[in-house]
Amino acid sequence: MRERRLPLSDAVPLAHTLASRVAEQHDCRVLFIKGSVAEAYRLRPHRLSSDVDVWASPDDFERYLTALRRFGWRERELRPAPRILELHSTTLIHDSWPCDIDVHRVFPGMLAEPQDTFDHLWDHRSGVDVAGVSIPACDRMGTAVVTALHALRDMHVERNRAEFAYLVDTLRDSLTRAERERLVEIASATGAAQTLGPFLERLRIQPPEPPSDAAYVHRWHDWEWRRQNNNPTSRWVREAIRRPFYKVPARLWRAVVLPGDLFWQLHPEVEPTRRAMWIARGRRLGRGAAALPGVVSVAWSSYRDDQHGGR
Amino acid sequence: MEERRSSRVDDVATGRWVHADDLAQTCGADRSSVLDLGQIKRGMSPSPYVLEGSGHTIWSILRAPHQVSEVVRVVAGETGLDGSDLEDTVVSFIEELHHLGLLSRLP
Repeated sequence: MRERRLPLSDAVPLAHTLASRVAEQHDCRVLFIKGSVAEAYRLRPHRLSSDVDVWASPDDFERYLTALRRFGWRERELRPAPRILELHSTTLIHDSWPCDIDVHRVFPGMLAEPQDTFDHLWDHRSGVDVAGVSIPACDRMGTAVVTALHALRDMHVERNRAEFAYLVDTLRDSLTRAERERLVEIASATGAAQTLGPFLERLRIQPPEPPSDAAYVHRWHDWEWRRQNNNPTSRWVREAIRRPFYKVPARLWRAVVLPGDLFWQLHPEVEPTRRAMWIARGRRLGRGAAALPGVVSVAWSSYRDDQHGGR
Repeated sequence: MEERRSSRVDDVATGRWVHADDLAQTCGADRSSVLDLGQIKRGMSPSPYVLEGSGHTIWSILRAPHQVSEVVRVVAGETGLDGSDLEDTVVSFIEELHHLGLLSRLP
């Protein structure tokens, strides 16, 4: 009866209940998403999860992190790498638990204002039973949308393609009219009309009209950039070209040469010798050069979209 | 000394025992993992406990209220051990679970 022997398969459901109770105790609104919840709704095949995914209302986010810290959870250190989509979650770890808790502030692919998005899903929440305890979660169609977007973000990953296919197969012939309408409602309310496009298309559902304001279009381009070309070169270029025009060359140069401190922070796996460092730098530049044509193609496509009204 | 032990055993043995109210738990074929969520209300960080072997058997029996004698009978049946040899072990285990807040005593 010792905590150190807690297997991951038991830790994950128990950590869901802990995270739920901490939220309840501190009046924080949270929704559990992905793994255990998707399985409870039979929207994902069973596989061992290694973490808890909990989405905190943006206005409760910091308070919820503080509450979890009181119970011994602490942030996992992040490498200072550039990102295309904003950092959507904070990963917490605990000495007594073999699993992480990922606290989401936003969900990638939902491009509406984060607070409006969360509020919509919260208003339609349900309780899902995990480890004998009812925890708050998105409704079944909300969970389907989250599961689809999670897969669509990285369709080059085989597991995501398999889970997307499973989701589509599960829903295609069983959706009721009300569920179809609910999917359209979620896509519209959360700004996922375009990001969910391939999912709705497979379900033969006409997507709602996407917004056309500049903030939305910017987020849509970020999503497409990230979806089509998720590699370090692409992230560095995207991060550089967001800056004022005159700062772009310096930023790109920094990405190429990578100052010493930053190199070691980004590549802690490299043996700390000069020889190993130069070999790793050479390989890094080789990978960057190989990825460059794809990045240029996506950059050009993004630029052309901008010139033709943003879509 | 012997008298004190006997009183303790009697005390545990006369009650009926069942899982405490505010627990999260996963139950497999050969293992249960348990978390006392009530501790969060008291501002404490609950530790997860893993019950295996006869501990798992006892835990499974106590899903519904049972007396020690009933628990001993089932464990003896499963392990082939003599019930009188098991009673002390079962009493100690139930006491420990009670102390951890995982079991409640019914009159």
